[in-house]
Amino acid sequence: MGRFADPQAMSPARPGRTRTAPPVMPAEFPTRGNYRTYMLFGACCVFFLLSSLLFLRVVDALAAGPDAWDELLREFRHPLYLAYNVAALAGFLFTARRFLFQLFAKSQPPRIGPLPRPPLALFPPLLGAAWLAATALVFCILWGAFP
Amino acid sequence: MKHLILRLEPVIWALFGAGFFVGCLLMPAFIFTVCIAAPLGWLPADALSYERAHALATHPLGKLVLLALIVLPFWNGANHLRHFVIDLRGIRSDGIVAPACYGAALVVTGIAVLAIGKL
Repeated sequence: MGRFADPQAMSPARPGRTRTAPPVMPAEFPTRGNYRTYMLFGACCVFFLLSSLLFLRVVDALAAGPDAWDELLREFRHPLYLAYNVAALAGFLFTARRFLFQLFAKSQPPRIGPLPRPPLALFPPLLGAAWLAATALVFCILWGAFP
Repeated sequence: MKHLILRLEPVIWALFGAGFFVGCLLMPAFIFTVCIAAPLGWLPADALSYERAHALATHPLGKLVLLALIVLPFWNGANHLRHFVIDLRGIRSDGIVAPACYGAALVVTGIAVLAIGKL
């Protein structure tokens, strides 16, 4: 890999005579207009971080034995844990809706490797089917439908 | 540090994308079942008893899913948090935020590998 691009490489040696306005944030940022959804989507990263740690705790309890597992399930009954998990579930569903059905298709290049990109209209139903299949599979396994 | 992070950007963005997929496709069902339905007793008896949960988690495929469920969403969250902070506080904060976010993700990855290895 060569040197990294220098963003200032093409700037003139002396400032030009044309005056430019200093950059300012749009008036709607961060809580109004389209920025509200954008910032909510960004804020959902907190659920990704905390729920990962929660599943680390689940693994730790499973490694520690039956008493630790029962204790963990008892702790999860606490209203604060329940409130967090309901909020996290809502956050993940919001993220899934925005990522799978709004952003993913728009971010695909015209060619994916040697193949041309499938029609954009195909992405939402395919990703929706994948979401339904994954959710049904996890439910069937964890709810005991498979031995 | 800045150059190292720039070199690692393709890997970080790949983990970010994979984290979105794991978080969107698997997390809602896992959170609902393990963190809400099981503690409230909505599951059939013994569906997530210790013996069954342990058997599922110690299966090689179960270990892989658990590792993906912990590591990938954390990398996603770390990268997203970095860019969320840049949006709010400007690029100058990135000198501290980026190493902190990716450092935490590296630590959690190590802990997750050890914890799942202990199962």
